[in-house]
Amino acid sequence: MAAPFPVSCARRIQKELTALHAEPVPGVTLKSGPDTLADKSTDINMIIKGAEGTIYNGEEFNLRFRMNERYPFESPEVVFQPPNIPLHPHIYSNGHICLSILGNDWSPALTISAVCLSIVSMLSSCKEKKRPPDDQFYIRTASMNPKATRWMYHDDNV
Amino acid sequence: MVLESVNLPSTSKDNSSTDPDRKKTDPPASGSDQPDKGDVENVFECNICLGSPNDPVISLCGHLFCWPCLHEWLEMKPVGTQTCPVCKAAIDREKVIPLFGRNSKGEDPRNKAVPPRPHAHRTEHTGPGPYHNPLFEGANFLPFGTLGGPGGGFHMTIGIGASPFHALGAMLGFTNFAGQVPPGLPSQIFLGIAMMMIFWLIFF
Ligand SMILES: [Zn+2]
Ligand SMILES: [Zn+2]
Repeated sequence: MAAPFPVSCARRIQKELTALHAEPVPGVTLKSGPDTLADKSTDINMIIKGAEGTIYNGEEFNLRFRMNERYPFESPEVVFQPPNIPLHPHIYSNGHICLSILGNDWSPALTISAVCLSIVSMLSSCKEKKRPPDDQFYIRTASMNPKATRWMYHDDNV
Repeated sequence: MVLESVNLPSTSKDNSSTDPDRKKTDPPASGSDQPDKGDVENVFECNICLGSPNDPVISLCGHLFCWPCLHEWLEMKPVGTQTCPVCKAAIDREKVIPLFGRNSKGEDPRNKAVPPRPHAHRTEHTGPGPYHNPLFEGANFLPFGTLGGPGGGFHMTIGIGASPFHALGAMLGFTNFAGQVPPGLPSQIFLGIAMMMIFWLIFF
């Protein structure tokens, strides 16, 4: 992270974390946040539990949010962390997620909690465990940062 | 501050998610110095910084922002493609209404010099696509890949699922060492090349 966080950015992240404690997203647990707000470290780790009645029931996934100093004007980088990456037609085996609100449709009114809700609903509505058709091709060529990818969003509603 | 994990039963007592206006009674679990002052405070928060608005303005769609916050967002998008961060209604700087409270000087914040800020590092070409706000809906996928220039709204449906352009760019040598697609590359040309690549992949 090149530049330190502007105060407004750090304050907003703090507000979001406070709100996450007060009104958590069902099935989502905050595992760890930035150690201090002045810190340039901006990783926020969440645990997502596969909901009952879904094909991910009982599974646990680690999801990492990484904010840069342009947050919330720029979207966070959101990646599932190994070892357990959900088998899902919109989630690549390197943890990258094809989700429009993380790219073109990002808005600064969206929050960590809104993104978590989206991802939970994406998992819950999935009926078949499989990787995207171009998974092998993608993971060989993709950058570490999913935001370097020009995504085309899936046309199906899994 | 280290935030500890808090385990939250997902099924217990009808969680707050169904009633956003519910008075919050639980204090934040963290050692936050910001006590929760309840709904009134939340209603008048800026939709971008989530703080109490500085130089408040309201859009025609009724959404409240600090002028500096909204200005920064508008600056990131070409005129004509600017949308409300909350509801994606069209928005532009001439059509926002400054709010003047009792002690404000009545000076239009839009006439003030907004402190210079670094510009966006990424240029997005986003057509006026449908918007799904996950706050209000469960669904989150756009049915189309949205490419193309501002205002062009070039929509394309692709049948083989995700086709991250980065990968195509990498094959064609359009990426730099960091794997970034150069922002200046005209997306129409790029799209054309990508289509050729897709056909090539399918037929050979
Ligand atoms: Zn603001
Ligand atoms: Zn609006």
